[in-house]
Amino acid sequence: MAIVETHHLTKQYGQLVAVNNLNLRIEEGDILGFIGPNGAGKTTTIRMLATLLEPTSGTATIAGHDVVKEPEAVRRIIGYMPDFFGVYDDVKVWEYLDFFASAYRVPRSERQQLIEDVLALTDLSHKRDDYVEALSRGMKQRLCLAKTLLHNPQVLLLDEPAAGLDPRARIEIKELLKELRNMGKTILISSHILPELADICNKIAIIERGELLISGEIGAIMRQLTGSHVLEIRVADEPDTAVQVLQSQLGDIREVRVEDGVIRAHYVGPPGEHYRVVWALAEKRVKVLSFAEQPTNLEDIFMRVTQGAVQ
Amino acid sequence: MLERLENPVFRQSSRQRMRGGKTYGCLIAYLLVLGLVVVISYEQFVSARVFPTTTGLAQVLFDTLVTTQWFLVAIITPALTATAITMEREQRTFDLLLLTPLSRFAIVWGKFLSAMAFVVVMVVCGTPLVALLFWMGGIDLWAALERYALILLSGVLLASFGLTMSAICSTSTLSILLTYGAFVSNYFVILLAGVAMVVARAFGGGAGLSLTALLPSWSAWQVWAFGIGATLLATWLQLQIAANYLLPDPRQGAWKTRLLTGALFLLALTAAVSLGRGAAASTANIRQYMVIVCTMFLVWTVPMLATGVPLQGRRWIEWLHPRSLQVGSVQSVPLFVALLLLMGIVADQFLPAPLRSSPLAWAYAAAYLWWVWALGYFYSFRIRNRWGALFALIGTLYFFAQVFANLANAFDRRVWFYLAGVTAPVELFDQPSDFAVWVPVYLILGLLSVWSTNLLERRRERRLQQGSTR
Repeated sequence: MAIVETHHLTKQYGQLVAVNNLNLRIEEGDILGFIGPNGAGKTTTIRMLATLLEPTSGTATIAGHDVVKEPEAVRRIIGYMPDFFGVYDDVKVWEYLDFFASAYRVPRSERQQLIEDVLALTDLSHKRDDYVEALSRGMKQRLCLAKTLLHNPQVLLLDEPAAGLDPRARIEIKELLKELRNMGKTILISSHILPELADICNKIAIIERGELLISGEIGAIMRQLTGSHVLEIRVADEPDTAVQVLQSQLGDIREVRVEDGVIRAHYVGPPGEHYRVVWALAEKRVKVLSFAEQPTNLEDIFMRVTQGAVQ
Repeated sequence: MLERLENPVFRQSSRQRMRGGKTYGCLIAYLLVLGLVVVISYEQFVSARVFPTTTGLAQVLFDTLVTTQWFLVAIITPALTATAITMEREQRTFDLLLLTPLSRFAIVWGKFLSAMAFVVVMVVCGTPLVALLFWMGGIDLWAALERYALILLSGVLLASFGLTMSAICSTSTLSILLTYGAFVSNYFVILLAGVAMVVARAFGGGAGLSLTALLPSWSAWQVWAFGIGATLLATWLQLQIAANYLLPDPRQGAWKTRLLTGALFLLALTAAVSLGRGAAASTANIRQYMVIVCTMFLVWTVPMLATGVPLQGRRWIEWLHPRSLQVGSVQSVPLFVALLLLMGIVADQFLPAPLRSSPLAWAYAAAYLWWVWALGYFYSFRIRNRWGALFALIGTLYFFAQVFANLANAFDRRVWFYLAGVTAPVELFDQPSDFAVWVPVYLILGLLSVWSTNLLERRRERRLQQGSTR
């Protein structure tokens, strides 16, 4: 069942079309990576879904509630984390969370435990009594995520959650997102840093100049774009023999490249029958050290799509 | 139940305010000024031996103290709210707040209550000084309470005005500038009106000026009831405007502000009827009394309602479409104003016969307001910026007011009242036939404005279409 759905969603500022005819569908439990270059319309789309901007035309629903007609109902379901946000001065971490918990009408008797829980989840328990403005950027991001989780939202709209963070903080945020995925949340996460999305998302949507170029499961898109899986093979000897075997004997292999001693072959045969490649190599006495299907490369997809390979 | 009444924004804003050192600095400075004023006044009055008794001295010192408190509250209060919302926008905390289930009004209300709590703290902080004066004797407790009620009512109005500016403006600097700008210019207008009255009286004018002469027909409780009612309604209206500006489209909440404007107008009419009936026994006789009251209210309201984002609709018949008539659109204003004028006509029937306005004067007021609206419609389409259109409209009205004033001077008519309020020049005319001449003039001027707006708009759209096809 689609929990987030947009139909011909459009936002126009005068003559400028920020988002054009966007049709997006996110199923319950999906983690959708919303990818696009700066100024592509990612933030505008997320702000429309978050009821902060009104679409010029088209509709968007979250769990069946229209974002324009039922903004209050939508706000109860979503948790939104903006790309840039500030914090209040002279406020402690627990006070900040207490303020938002009371704004979300969490009963007073449950607030304290809830605050402790989200602080523990975001690894901020030791900062409970610190002033918010004194936290590092990474901690502020985690605090904002903690605030976003206070009312236990079904859908999380995260706009560039790891932007501007150092590598450690970025890994921490990534781990946190995996934790949320395991909790069964539906997440829409926008980013233009592709490797950070690769192992979190099961679906992607690529947007450029306000237009949705492609959306769907990462593997399916990869197959749609290249019609192949990339196999990564390491051999003990020189790779030449293995390359010859792959190029000459197998109709299932389309393209073979050797990069830093590693063979990358595009497999176009029937899915689930990669083993035949290993058999062929073994037949020719090639000493195979490792054989694996290369994880889907989001950068590759992104470059192909935004270059106009798919329209 | 009590938990439902809890306002997190009030708690958060108050906590932030009372935690900063700036607040205590401000309170100390405020008390120092109050103390200095009392000490210096005491020294001056005692050395000049103006008062033979301590009770007389205590009364004057109390008046000085309360006036200073009033002045300080009036200066500090707008500063408490003028940046309340702009700061949230500038610090990028606002989106997170808007996403909570709190209503827009609850957010504004929380900010307002927090500012008012500080005003109360300021007033209460001054009580030890007042207690000293009470100890000298001669100060009436009720009179003292009345003055503090006035200080609080001023605080309520100023705090809500600052908050409205803060919701409308995009930056804190602009909001502070406009809040204090309006504050100063208001005093300037009142000053000008005062000077005009003095000059008019000096030259033997003002014979028709009986509004202030009418006031004594009210008892103290009536003055208080009207004053408190009008202040609270105006405050509510301002807070609602602020709340509307937190919505993605301010027009979504316009029906509430229309309702509150109607309630304020009804209160003004009730007061006018009460004053008029009370004065019937006296010699007071203002020609077209109720028409003047209505136009004085509406000539300031219509420009605000008539400028904004007009709904696209080229032919006049399209204004009758339900989409155009939805509240909040520029096109729906004539209907709303017609309703208010109808209320005025009904209220007029409650007045004694000599005070009732002539039908021609009502027609004249309606035609004048139609023209004001039509000009607003013109500027809204041409300028496409709400505030630009509003300033252009008020500028045009003021220009016409000047022309009328000069014409009236040339024909030796009284103009002082008209100049003070930029109202429709109802009071200029003696004979119903004078009104009859101007009704078609304003109707035609208004029609011309609407016609030219639609013509120019059609041309613009055609140009845009040609540009896009190329």
